[in-house]
Amino acid sequence: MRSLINYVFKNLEEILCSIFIVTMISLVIINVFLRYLFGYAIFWAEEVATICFVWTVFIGASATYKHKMDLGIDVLITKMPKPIGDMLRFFMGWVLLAINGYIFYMAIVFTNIAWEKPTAVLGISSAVMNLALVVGFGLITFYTIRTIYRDILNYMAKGEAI
Amino acid sequence: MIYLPVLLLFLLYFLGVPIAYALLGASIFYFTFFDAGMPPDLVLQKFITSAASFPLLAIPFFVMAGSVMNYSGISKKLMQMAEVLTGHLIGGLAQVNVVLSTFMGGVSGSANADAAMQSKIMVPQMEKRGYSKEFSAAITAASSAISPVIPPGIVMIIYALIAQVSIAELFLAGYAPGLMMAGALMITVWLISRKRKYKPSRDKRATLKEIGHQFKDSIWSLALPFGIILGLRFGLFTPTEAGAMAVLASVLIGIFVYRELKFQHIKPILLDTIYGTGTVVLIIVSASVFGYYLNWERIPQALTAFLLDFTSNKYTMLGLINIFLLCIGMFIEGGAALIIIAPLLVPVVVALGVDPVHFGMIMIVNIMIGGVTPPFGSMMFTTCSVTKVPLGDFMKEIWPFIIALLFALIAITYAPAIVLFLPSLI
Repeated sequence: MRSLINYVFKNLEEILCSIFIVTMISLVIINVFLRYLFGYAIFWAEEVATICFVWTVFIGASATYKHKMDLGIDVLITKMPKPIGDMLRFFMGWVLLAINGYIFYMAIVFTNIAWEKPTAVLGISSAVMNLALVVGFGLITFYTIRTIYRDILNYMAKGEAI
Repeated sequence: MIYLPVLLLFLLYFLGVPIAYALLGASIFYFTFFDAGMPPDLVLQKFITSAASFPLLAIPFFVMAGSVMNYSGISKKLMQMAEVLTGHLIGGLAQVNVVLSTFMGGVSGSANADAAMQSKIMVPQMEKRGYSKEFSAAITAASSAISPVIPPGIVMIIYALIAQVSIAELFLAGYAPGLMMAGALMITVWLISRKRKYKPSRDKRATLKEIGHQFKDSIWSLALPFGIILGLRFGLFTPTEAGAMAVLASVLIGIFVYRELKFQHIKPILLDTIYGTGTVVLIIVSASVFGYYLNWERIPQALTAFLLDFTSNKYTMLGLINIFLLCIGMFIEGGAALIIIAPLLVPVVVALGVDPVHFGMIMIVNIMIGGVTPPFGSMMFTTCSVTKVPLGDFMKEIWPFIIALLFALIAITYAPAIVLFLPSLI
């Protein structure tokens, strides 16, 4: 039981995204078949698929952030003398925290403002979409803090320049 | 002063901030500290609404289709087909490598995926047959530039959405340039192999019967991309639906025809899709926020005026743009570069009468060449890290292939008919 909970927490983004992806692809395929076989379409399929997509994007972004898979170059930093490179990397951690934390904060503000705004087709609260940004960047901010925290722990353990 | 966010973008990027977050950081900096007259929460709205777009769903679907095809034995069939067709030529396995990338273009549509796959499968085999490891890695990286140009491909979908051209037309436009790139590389392989005495991989040319037999065996793998493209062209599906149908078709082929797709493949396929979508689409939506800043400051217009001031001859302009893009492509990953730069350049060339579909092909081919060019080409990194070939050795072997690809690029740039013939036909 404990290992199951552990597994779910470690792979939270992947599990959520899998559900969203399967839902959106099923909806699109079903709609194509309905259209050609019965001349009928589920009117809300496109909106629900799009909402699933938005969640996939922002939660998926958190998954790639967690695994440090985002596209970028660290060649310059690795080519520098180690102390300077490490210091720069640590500093960039704080820059990322500023960017991600700010977006997380703004996402909360924005979701709050737009809570009443209905979606185009189903007319439900647009929060169903906007919350993806809150959750996604909440997790990304958490991972950013975790990286900084680990860097500091490493520094204290080794007692050398970060 | 208004260019400060652009400088910040590059600074963050070169200091190791991933491109999506560098774009976001530069945009936030602008909307917070410049008196842009727009509250930052509206910027956030832009961030979400640009993700909430049904056409963008095509991206995860095509990523997933590529992954399913890999697990369903389709890549293996394509490799056998490539072997039968070109194994008897001088430098046999290197030729197979190029032809396989061309076939894989119809399957994976991503240069990095192709480079990684062939580094694992082709390079060890080539080494066993006496090819040098550096040469094998170089031809693998160079040929991976073909896959995104052969339809269907993710980069093409992204360009079509940005430039607002028909995805079906762009797909059809990709065949001729892709084949030209393959031809240029095959000639180069032939020249090098003759000098170094790299042997063919099969004793003699395959008989027509053998080819026919192999073709029958691989027909599903070869036909699937055409099905998708024709379905699009004749308006049976929207691009998003085409992606979903491609997934469905490849799942069915994997289960019932090749019988290689298994239950345990679901997890890696889903993970490929999640990570592929997470990285690419986040860059797209971040770039659209950054584009908001660019438009707000009328930078595309300023750039257009500046460039048109410089020259109003469309061929000179395309030449200049090519040089500019090659430089950019060396530093920034292809897809990301396209997302940032296409909106800036498309208005310029359209004003000079260049067909946006033609320009799309130029951009894609160009940026893919950047991807194999040192110092920061992404396919170069992928290949070198999988094959463990030192960058310095790789660089010595890659340059003839880069020159060959540049010849193809020049032909594609200055003979629009190569690109536009097929789309005008169907």
